[in-house]
Amino acid sequence: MIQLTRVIKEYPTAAGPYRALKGVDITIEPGEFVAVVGKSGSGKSTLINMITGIDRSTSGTVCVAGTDLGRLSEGQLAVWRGRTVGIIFQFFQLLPTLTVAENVMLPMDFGNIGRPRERRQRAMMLLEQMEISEHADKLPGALSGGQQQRVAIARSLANDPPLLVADEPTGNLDSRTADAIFHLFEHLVELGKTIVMVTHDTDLAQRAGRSITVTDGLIVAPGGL
Amino acid sequence: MAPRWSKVVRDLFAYRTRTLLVVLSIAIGVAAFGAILAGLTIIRAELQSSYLAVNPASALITTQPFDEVLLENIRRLPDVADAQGQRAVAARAQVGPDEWVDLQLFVVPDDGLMTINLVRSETGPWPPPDRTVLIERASLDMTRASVGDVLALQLADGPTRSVPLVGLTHDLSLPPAAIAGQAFGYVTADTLIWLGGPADDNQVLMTTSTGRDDAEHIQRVASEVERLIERSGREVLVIDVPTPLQHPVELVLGTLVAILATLGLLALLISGFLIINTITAILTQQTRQIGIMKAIGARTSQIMGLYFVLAAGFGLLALLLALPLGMFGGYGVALFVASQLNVTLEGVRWPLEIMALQGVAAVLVPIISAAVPIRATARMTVREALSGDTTPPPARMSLLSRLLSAVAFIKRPTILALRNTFRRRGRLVRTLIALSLGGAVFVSVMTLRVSLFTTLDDSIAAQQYDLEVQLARPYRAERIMQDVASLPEVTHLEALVRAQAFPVQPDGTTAEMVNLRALPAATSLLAPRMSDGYWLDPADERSIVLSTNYRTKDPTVQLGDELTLRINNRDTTWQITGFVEEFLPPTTPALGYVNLASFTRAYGGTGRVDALRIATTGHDAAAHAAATMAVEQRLNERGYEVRLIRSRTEDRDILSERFNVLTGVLSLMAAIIGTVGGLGLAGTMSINVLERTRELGIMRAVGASDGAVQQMVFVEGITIGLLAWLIGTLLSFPMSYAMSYQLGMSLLNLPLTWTYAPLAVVAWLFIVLLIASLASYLPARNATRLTVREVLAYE
Repeated sequence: MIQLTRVIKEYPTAAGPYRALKGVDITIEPGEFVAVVGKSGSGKSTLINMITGIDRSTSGTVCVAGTDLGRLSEGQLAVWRGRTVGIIFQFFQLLPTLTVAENVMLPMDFGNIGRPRERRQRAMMLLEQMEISEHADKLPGALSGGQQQRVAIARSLANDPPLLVADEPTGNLDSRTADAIFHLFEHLVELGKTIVMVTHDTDLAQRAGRSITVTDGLIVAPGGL
Repeated sequence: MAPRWSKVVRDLFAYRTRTLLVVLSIAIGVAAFGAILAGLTIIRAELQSSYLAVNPASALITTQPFDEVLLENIRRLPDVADAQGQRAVAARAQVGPDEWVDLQLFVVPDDGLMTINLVRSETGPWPPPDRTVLIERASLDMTRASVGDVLALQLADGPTRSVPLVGLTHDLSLPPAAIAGQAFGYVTADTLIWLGGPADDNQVLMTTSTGRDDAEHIQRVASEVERLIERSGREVLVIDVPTPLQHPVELVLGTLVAILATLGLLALLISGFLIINTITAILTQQTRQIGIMKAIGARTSQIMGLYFVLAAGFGLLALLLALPLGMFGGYGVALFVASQLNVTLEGVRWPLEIMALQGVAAVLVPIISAAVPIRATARMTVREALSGDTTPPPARMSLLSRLLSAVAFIKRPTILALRNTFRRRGRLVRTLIALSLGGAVFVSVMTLRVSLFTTLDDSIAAQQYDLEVQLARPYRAERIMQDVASLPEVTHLEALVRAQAFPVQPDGTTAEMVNLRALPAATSLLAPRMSDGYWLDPADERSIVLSTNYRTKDPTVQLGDELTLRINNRDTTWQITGFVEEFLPPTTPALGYVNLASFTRAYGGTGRVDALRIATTGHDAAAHAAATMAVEQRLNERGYEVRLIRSRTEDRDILSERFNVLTGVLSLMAAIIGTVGGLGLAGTMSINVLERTRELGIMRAVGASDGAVQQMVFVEGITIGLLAWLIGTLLSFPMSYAMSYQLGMSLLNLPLTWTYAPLAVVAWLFIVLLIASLASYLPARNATRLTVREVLAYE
């Protein structure tokens, strides 16, 4: 599902180029639930950005779901991302002026997937799966953090992507809610989704299928590989 | 509705203050643009339809007295649609104890029926009863009378008669009295005879059957009429072919249109800058949202589409305001201009084409203005957009910050405010452009106004005489000068001859009249302002100096050209040796100066003059009035018939009145553009405060008082205002110079005497400070109303 080969990522800074990833090799199989752990500034988010096509590598190849991301233009990457990857952010990142259901429908709208009525039906189905369908017509601001993250997960599933990438999905939630969200992820893996989750929480990381530890831009514990 | 369009709609209404600012920025620009175009469209259409409705004469031919038989013969000529006789006589009306105004009297047919240059009766009987007069409505102010009053009227060599003013007319074939510099009245033939005037008509008004808009064709038909008149044994004195189907004031209107259209576009341009500022602020605020949308699959084109629709949405909301504002404003402009041009707006007409243009402008201006920031933000990579902040915090202090920090006496909040002013340079530049342009236009318009009057004063100053006496007929120069020179009020005087001369064209027809002044070449009562060539030389027998506005009538004319002038059917050729600057609108006939001795040798009348130019001991209005009275009394005592005495102060009043429309409309436009600029500053201040809400929260959390926060916002606003004032002032120099040159050339065919208006700079400083204070007040108040918790939670 995911194949990173000798991936290097450098950022220009005033003090010269800063190497955030120093030649990373990772392989993740379909249906895996992988936790990426590491300290702040270790290169976790950069790694996630490579996998989601949010950022491009300086060298090396990033192949996700059979597509070499380096060969896609920005526009093609956007279309690819919309259909292939569901992204879940730490701060939920819902659009504040759209209702919960509209937030979930948005990826379908941009990807031009299904007819408008079908989009609404699918959004409601996903919200029911996340047990928050009663909030469908509320604005995100009216929901708690845990509820907003459920909406974000529903949104990430809108186009039924085979891969879910979550960047600190529980980092902003209390432990009970974090646990509930983790259960949701486990359920999605059972349904055949591949999940890559960045986390600080070592307990949660241990509950994933395997964990990858990133330190100073290198994979130091490729766990399970 | 698809979620992305729901987002656009909700974004429009979610942030009301911001939406209001953008909408107002667009609306004022579009409304000002629409008002100007609508006003001019309404007035032009009205002027044209009203003017055509009076069946304007294609040509006016002045000849010797004639009867109905001649008219019948003219009507039978091929391509003559109609011909009508007319008698116009120069007279004067008394407006004060010793004050008179020029009045042109027209004779109305006994049955009141007219077919060409139709005159409409406004109030009172038509035709006027014998021994009464009707006054053209735009002349009423000049006569200082009301309907029901009795006017003292006098023909050039007739008695003064008391004539009741029984009503008003509307005559659209004439320029308004203020522009013509004389009043117009209507009497019957019997009344004219009673006043001492001639009985028969002396002007033929004619219309052509075809080619009514073709001046050359009309000229050819008029030449046929001329030949027919000459075959009847009469001399043709003048053939006047006015610009076909064009009201006399349309020439002035052209200049007004050009200036106002430029100002309208400027208002739109300024509004464009404000839109860029606000849309950029919105995009900055929504950068992270854009990142999220891209992360979940939105393409750059989809993001751009979203924000273009948002910009168009702002435009459509603005249109709701701008349409009625523009149309009512336009109607106001039209009403104002109509009142000045003596036109009545018949019914309410809403120009659909201008409404459509407003619609296009309202949608396109924000889209075009926002294109660059939208493109730049939408093309950001997902990672950049998700990181949110488009401008990373500076790594080192700027030179300005270091300088400010080094100055010990400046308080910390002030230093912060001054630094903040320069933080968003693009926004600052656009705000400065908007406000500076507003200021530059304001100062330029005021300078234009002052320059108009300086040019007028210069022109008046060139006349180094205080009074001009026009006599009813020629008198011996030596005697009349002796009679007047002995008055204590008189310090110096010269005699001259005034004549109406007609340039003879190669095909034998005559062009528009030239007002000829034959005066001593070595005159000391005129300081001619030569624009080209040289003044009359006593040794030059056949030289003529023309006013520069002659060039608008004959653009091919050059120094050294020969000009044949016809006076009383006698042709003499003169060589043009100079052009002199005179304050004459294009509608006024050109002036020509020739040597008095040469003139009398060419046209006869040696030793006789019909006008005096007098320098008096005093030069103010009171001294002029006293001298006028003394001169008139002396001339009457000695048996001279006076047609008119006009003082320099009266001349100035008449001329300055001609520019009231122009300066009035220009001042209005300056106010509108200033408002748009002020709105820009208000927008910038509110965006700045909004963007720094978190920063302000941090400051309040560490102990910044309400006063300190407000001071920061105010100092920033005032700093921007002062910078805009400075730039606007600098910009106003070239702008006002260019405007003075352009206006002068198109209006008077000479550049205005550019006179900068420093008072306007001072006034603009106060206005800018007021605008800056008002623009900062609300954001400053809002900044102190937020609690620390609210501002730190702000996103």
